[in-house]
Amino acid sequence: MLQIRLPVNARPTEGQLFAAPESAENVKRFRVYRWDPDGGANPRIDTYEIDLNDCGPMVLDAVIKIKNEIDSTLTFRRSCREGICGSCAMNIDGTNTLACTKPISEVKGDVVINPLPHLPVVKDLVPDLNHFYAQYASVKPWLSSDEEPAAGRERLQSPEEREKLDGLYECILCACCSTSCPSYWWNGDRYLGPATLLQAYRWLADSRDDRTDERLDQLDDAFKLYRCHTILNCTATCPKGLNPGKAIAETKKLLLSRKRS
Amino acid sequence: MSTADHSGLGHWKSQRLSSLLLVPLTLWLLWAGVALTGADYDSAVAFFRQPFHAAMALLTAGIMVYHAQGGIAVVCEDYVAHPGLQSALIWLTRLGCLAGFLATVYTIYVVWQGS
Repeated sequence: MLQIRLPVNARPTEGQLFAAPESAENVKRFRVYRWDPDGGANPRIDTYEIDLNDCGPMVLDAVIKIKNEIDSTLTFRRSCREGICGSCAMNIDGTNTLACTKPISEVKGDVVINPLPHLPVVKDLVPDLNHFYAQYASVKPWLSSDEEPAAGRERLQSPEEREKLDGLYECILCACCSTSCPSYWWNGDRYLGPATLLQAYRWLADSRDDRTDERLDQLDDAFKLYRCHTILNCTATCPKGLNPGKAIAETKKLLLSRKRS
Repeated sequence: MSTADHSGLGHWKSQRLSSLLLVPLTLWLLWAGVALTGADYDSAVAFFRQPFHAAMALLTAGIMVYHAQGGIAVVCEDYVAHPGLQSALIWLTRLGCLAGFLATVYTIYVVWQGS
């Protein structure tokens, strides 16, 4: 049956407190999930007190400050620090988002930071995204066409055709949406999840791609696509403001109209 | 057989179509419930002996159980991980829904027989 509670050895315990220096004037507490695969111990929640007067404005600034100045064992992914690489996706204050674009000032009370939900944890805030990427690869996320463009020419699109890709091509595969989706939590082994389905629709919507039937055949599956129950956590949480729920609905409409014709 | 044994489109379409059909049927059911409030047994029998209302009762029961078993099957697939238990629950649901529909058919039949 569905397991509501975490297994006993996965339940976080109270960890260490790293108090702010006495000179700190503007203290904010960051409660961070910690787990070391080598230790064999349960995960713990460490508390770091940060002087915001000596820290950048975003949650990622605080996390980097913790690693650089307080506790170098804290492990997390980050790269661009401007919301374009998706590396620093984590669950902050109960919502999946990018640490680099999440202002600390938006969080009332302690800043609680966990790894993205319902994925295996590699260490601390680093989730295992192998399965997520394999699902992405399964929809063949590249242009596929039998027609070759004229020699020396690009594959042209009208402005209207190009416009159909807006709201789709901007996805950075941070996995915030998929890991916020209850259907993906319970059936992530077979349900592709909102991120992969948005990417699949990105190629269905591309006028230069002529594998539409093949792509739709692959998606017409009770689990791959139709496990979406329109909960729309994906759309609510997307840090890029995209709408995977709409992309999934458009894919279902394509399947419906295809069967009618 | 679960909904996962075939393409998802057929199940998705059937659930939406049956829910659309249930809109007028549910309105009829509510209206019939109000109309029969306080009515005695003979009045209720007379109501369901009218062909239109008998047909509406059968249609409502049939489509309602069809919609319910499809929806519950999806819930089982979502939340019951054990394949054997999942399959058993889906079949139990179907049998229960079929029993409910057959009970409705039998009831209408008895009413039409005049007993």
